[in-house]
Amino acid sequence: MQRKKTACLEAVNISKKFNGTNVLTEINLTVEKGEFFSIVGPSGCGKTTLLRIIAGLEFPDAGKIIINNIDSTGFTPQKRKTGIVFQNYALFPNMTVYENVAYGLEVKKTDKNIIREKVYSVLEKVQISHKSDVSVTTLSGGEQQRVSLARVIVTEPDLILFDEPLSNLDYSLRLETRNELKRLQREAGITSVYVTHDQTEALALSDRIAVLNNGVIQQTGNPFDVYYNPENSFVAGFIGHSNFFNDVMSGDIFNVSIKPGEKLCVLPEEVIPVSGEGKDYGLITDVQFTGFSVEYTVEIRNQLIKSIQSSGNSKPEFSAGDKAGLKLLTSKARILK
Amino acid sequence: MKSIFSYIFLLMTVIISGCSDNNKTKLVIYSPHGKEMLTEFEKQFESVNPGIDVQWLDMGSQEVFDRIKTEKENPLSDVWWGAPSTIFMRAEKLNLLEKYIPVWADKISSSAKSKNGYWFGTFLTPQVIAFNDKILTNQNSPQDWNDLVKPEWKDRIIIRNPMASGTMRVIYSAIIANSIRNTGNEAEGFEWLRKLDANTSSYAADPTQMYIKLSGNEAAVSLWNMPDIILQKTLYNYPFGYNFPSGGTVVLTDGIAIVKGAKNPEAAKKFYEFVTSEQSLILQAEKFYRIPARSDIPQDKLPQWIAGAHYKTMDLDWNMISENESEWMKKWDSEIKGKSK
Amino acid sequence: MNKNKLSGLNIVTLLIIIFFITGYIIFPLYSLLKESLLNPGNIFSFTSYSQLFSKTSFSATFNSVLLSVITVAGSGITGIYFAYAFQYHRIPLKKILTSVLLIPLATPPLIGVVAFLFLLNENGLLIKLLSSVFNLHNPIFRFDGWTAIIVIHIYSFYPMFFLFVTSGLKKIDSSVTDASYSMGASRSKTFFRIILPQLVPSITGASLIVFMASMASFSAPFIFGGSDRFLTTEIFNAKINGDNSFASALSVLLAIISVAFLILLRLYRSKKIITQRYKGTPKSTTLHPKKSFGLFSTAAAFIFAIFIVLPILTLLFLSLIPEGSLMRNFFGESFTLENYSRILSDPQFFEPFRNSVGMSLAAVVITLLIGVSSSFIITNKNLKGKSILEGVLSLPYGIPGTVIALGFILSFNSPTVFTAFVSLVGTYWILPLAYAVRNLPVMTQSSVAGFHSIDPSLEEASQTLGAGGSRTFRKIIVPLILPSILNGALLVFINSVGEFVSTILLYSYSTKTISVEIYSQIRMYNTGAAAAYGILLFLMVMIIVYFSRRTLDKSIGVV
Repeated sequence: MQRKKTACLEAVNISKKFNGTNVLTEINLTVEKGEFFSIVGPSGCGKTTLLRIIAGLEFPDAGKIIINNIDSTGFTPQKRKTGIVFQNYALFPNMTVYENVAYGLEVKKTDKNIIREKVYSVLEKVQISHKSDVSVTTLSGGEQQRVSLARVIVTEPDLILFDEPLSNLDYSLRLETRNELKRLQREAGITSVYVTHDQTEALALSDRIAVLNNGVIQQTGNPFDVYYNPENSFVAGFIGHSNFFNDVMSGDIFNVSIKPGEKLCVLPEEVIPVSGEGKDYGLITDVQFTGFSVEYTVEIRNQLIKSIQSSGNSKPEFSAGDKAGLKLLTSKARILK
Repeated sequence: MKSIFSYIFLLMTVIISGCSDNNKTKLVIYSPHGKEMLTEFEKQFESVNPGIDVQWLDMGSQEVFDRIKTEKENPLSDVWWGAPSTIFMRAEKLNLLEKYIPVWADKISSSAKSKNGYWFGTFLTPQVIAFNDKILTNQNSPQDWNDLVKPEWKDRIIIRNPMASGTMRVIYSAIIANSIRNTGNEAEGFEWLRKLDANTSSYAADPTQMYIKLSGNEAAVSLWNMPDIILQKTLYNYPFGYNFPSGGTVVLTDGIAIVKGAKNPEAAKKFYEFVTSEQSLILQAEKFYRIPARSDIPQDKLPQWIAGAHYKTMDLDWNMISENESEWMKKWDSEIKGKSK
Repeated sequence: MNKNKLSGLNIVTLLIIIFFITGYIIFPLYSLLKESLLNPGNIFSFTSYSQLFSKTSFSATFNSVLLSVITVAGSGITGIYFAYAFQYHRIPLKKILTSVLLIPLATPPLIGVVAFLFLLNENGLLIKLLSSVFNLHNPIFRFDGWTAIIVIHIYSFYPMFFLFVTSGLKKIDSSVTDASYSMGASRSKTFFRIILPQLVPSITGASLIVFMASMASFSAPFIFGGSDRFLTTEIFNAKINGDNSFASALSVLLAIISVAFLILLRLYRSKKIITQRYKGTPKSTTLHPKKSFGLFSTAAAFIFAIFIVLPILTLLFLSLIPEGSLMRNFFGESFTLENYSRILSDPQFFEPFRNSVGMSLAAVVITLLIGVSSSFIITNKNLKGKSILEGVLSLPYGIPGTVIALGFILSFNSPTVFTAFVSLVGTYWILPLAYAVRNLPVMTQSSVAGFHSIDPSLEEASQTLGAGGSRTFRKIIVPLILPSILNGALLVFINSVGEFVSTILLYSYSTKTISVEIYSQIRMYNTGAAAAYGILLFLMVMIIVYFSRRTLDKSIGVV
């Protein structure tokens, strides 16, 4: 990858073992200044460890962490200008909202009046200034989340690290907070590294995404690339929930010929169930109507294929038990090794 | 956080103020004679000796012995006021006492003092058969030692735990010593104790428990010393009566001594003489129910209960008792206690 | 803790801890061991140990272990039942009842035993009351021997289970029990299969404390034991008989049994421990739907509360009737403050109170310094040998006060390095040090629990916000472990302020404590005055507990 002067964070060949097992293997990342960068992968893929290494809470066995062109590998967390938003928020229960947010500034021996000004301005931003003198233990999950974010933003770090910050929130709150997070990040222009197992979240928030599996980076790219041009079947499956067809099925069903060993990779929205002459080789096993979309599950040759279509203001065409075939909606179907 | 440090500061002040001192000569007394008697004589003594600060520790005589033994290397007390002569004999052998011969040394029978002048008797304590006089009378209660082991008194005898009681240890040991004197060996004495154990309904952990059990609604009997029985009856209305064993009773001598290596031997001697003066002994008899060991105290100055007490003293080899008490009591504890149940 | 290597400060702290442990735990135990291996002629021999194989020693050992096992079982069932009932059932006046149920914690053992004595012996208040109500001539039952000791032990020790299990139950997510109920499991099945297994850490923790305390208990076996032998009373007898060597050998045996139990329990616990990390906050526990059982629990709780306060009421009653009227038909006596005015008129009345409070506070300070710093080191994951440190620090709990005092006397009779080259025996500091050693496990365990309860991410958050180690410690860790530490300090204070068994061996004129005063009143048969002192001590402890609880609740809203 080309090295730019504006790189805020560089991870070079980071490796880490725990009790003899490789948790991270030769990780290379570059995060540009102002960028919103996500690390996405399933549970246990090593993404939190990577985040903790960036923060200085763990040290890599090999490799370097460069923050703002300074090799920070051996630096303690205090020496790095990084802030973390923890999964469980990690608010200091012995302090009020105000005290939590002011803590990082007090550490830097900032003038009291300036602290006051800054803290209130940030609390305003995250819309929680009305609860500034309340003990953090009395706050709801969403409110705690916002305080946790404010606590980091107020110190104006070079880099904010997010460790699955939305996973403890319920669905609607998660959507709301996600939007707000994006807004705040854009306004503050702070470089962010965001760790999540939720690929939708990653796609929605990020400028760029790194997909991590078993401690190895599978692909790095912007959301569009990762979604539409997965480099391997893991990325295709994890990010896009793609369906895979082998050479026989690909030829038989879609008339697309690929080499043996290759896979045709089809996103759920790129395939649609159809009925008609000679097309009843599949069985609709499940139909789910979610409002804006209809999800079909079609069983063909003991394989379950997912198809998602916009519901388009009409009743689903098929119901469970119907016979149906499949039709490809795109000409740019991906072929993966 | 500030408040916590101020608490700690306050606390330190309290602790340090607890270590405050004065310039008086400190005289430390170990004694089982009880708070009231000790306070009384502390006041009296200090009023005539203003330069001396009397500090007493009130504990059982066995505990005093233990303490003085453990403090041998670094004695912390000056006067040991009160313990049965048997304990003083042991202390003398262990070289824990300082020789001192008081002015009244020849006014006391030879059995009530150390041959070498290490300790002297202060009080005589005859042991009695005590009973609950709500139910029993002097006539239908046991009259002599051998009455106690008769079947009619089965489960009606209450004994203060002998292992922890100086009084009871001496009574039990006296039984064995008497047996050796009469028969040449211990066997008869232990047999008698075995029978007593069989008749004993319970062993009281402390004297108060013994008093309470003795004063219940049962026809109970115990062995205890006469002054205490009279004191409890007079002061606190316990329903107690007593008989002197007709064949002769065990009479304990309670003594006084100066501790070897006492830091203030001169003050110790002053205190020694003060509390064993005629005047003090009379006060101790009147107020604290102690029978003086000095034979030169005029009978008419003593309370009626002392002057009127007529008992026969059992002739005992106190040296033998002192030497063998531990072993005999250990044997009793492991081979006799509770075995007849 | 991060991978911080031991800094200079940490090394100094560690050295101080090692110095204290060597000087005040290991050295006295060593002295004791040495004493046990010397026969009366000061010659090395195993005579004392061969005596341990006698029938009487065996029965004493057997009785002590059996008593401790029964005590653990009885206190366990009582404590777990009430903790469960208070958590899951509707019981009126729960708050007040909880405070009442915890009264035994604040009752020094000497006072508890004496109070029971006057409540339940042949002439005790309750027996007299029942006899006069039913017009009986003879006492309707005898309160002594095993029954009495077990009742007193359960009275004194069940609060440990109550406290431990209550906090254990609070950690159980109600969704888990709800799941069990929804699958059709009965109340008892849910309790035994779902709740109980999750309580293993709490129950083993409480069992350990209760077993050790029961092994080391002296007052109850001594007063009610009658002709039954127990290790602690045998130690006392041997000592009274002048056989220090045998007393030491028995003490060593007792310590070994306690430590063996400790190790056994640790092994069991490490196998059985169940931990589960919940995402999100656990929901508060729901009340059990069936109300009828709540009624039963309510009745049980109220009856038990009466049992708890009866001994205290007995003391109060005794302190308010004239001395000696115990023997008359005292129900007709009019109340009087005579006993109080008598003890208050003593010009040295405040002395024992000042001593007890001062020395207990000193003990608290010592345990704070050693206990908190030790727990800091114990919870530091990267230190080798910390389990040895932890083991040694929990040792004193299994050693009776008498034995610790004995070890202290043997060790500090002459000047040592550990005592700044003075002889400690007879000085002021020997008592606070003995209290501190005896209570070190309490303090260490409380603050270890405090450290464990801190979410490690809080420390990390502080670090990433730029705070250094000392600031994180002062601003985040200390405030968070403060409640645990203060709780520990409170326990140490309560245990010390009424301590009797080691005090009686170590006190001197200037260090008379309230318990010594009570003992000397009892020795001179002044039960009224003893009871009055007992009530004053009890009130003092209660007031201190009340105010420290209030400050605790106020200062920090989290536990």
